[in-house]
Amino acid sequence: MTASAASSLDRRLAEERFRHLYAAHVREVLAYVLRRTADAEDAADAVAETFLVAWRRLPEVPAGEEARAWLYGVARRTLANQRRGERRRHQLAERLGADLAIVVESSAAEDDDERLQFALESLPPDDREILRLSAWEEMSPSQAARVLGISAIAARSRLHRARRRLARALAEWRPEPSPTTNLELKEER
Amino acid sequence: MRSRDVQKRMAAANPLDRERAAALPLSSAEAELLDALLAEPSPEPPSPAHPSALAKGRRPRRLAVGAVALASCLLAFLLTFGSDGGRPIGQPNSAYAAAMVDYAESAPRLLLTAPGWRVDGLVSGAESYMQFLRGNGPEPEQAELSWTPTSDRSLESRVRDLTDELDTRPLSTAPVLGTTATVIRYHEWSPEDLGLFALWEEDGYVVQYSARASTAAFEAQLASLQKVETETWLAAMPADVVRPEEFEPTVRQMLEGVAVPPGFTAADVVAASVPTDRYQLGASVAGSVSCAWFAKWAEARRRGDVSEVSAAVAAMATAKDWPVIRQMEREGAYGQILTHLAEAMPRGSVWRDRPLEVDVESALGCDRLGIPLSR
Repeated sequence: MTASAASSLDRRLAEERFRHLYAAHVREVLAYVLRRTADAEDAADAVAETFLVAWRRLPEVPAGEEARAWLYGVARRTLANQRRGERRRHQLAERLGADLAIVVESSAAEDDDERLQFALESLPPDDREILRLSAWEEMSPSQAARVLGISAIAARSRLHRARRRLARALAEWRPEPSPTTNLELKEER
Repeated sequence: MRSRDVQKRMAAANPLDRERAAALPLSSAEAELLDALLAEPSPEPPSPAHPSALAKGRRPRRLAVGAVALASCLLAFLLTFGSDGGRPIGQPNSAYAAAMVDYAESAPRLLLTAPGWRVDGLVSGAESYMQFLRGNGPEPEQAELSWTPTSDRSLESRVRDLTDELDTRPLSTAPVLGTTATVIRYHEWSPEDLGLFALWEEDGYVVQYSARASTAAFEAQLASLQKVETETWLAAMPADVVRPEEFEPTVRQMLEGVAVPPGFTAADVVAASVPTDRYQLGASVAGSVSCAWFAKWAEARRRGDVSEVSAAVAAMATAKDWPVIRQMEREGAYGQILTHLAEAMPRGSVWRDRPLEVDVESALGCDRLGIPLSR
């Protein structure tokens, strides 16, 4: 086989693997992102950036279920960069962003647990994230550990501490007057 | 509220559950994105010289202290151990050193003495904890030791809480340091993937030791725990714990490139926790400067001094670019929190009608840093 034929085969195999990865996880990554930002453009950019990283570093993406945690880890860092003002507007994501702008608004859940929102806001970001990974992404501590880049045992300890802190914050919560804004949006902006 | 109730409440607050996510009409846009991605250049072959930290995902991040997230691999701070020709500072070597020794003398001072184990991290505070590692590969063995005063929480209460949290029974016991620890087991995935916690009382503290190990290996680790002298314990701390002689030059180096308020000197920086690692000292340095700016901002707002308010807002707008913050970025979220607070200055709040000062105090711990935000 010539070098060029081998290269072509590598490319086809890579595309095949990436198509499977994308099909299996794009909606999960999209949901992960939408749970953390309500900005359609940011969400679309984060999804595009996450899968662009996955495509460029495909040999490093773990197989099977571990891929989800790997992708969430990339998405998490992308969102963090956005919050620092380091946005990359992807032309790749234009269509997704436009469609998201329409569907996100109509599918937004009512945030009626104000007390929980307040208590969550008072926690350190890493505590918030492990609580969300556990409750919203339904990840075990081992899986969450891979997203956060920490050991499973540390994730278990952190989850335990975060739940204690959240319970304490819920107990200490006192309602503020004049609710006017959506916490989740503020936190992620 | 019990842990499982917290979990249920969190789950109920999911802003986009799986079913609704699956039903979003985005298939066409997703397909278009896939085509666009595949039009990008081919994947890079893996580079052994630059293994992906994400792919490995195992290197522990440093643990958290205070109200901010502190995390990490080792931070490669370039320290300048120059001559001591700078300004005098308020937390002199001797005070920091004395505080460090006081802390060590009052701590349980336990070390794993089995061959190969080393201390990888220490976080001091109301709940102090240290992390141990063995091995140098991408997935070293890990263990964590934490301690809290029994006056804060009894051993029984901790055991009950952890048992509820892990939803696991029965408990067992194991000998440790001449006493008996309560041992809690849980499985992450399978019976082979076993995590164990041991809790016992030691010198007025509830001590918790945790590791992912077989029961036999865990018990061997417990048996190798030894109480050591203060000097031995301090000498075992990892390289990024700031040693007394490093404190002053490190603070001066961290203040370089930081917009400080008029009259602010290195003497105004106090370590929020002792001992401290470089990330946490960075948080103290950036936090002290920021608290000083927030205090000036709050005071100027009360006076109606528009120019002072603007100066504080403008200074804090540069916080995300301070060298100390850029260096900390690699390890944790402190810079993100600071940026979040700085961006809220023009509207005076990050959450509804709650004054920004409340969140600044909660996030930065200005009181602890000796710069109270009077309201």
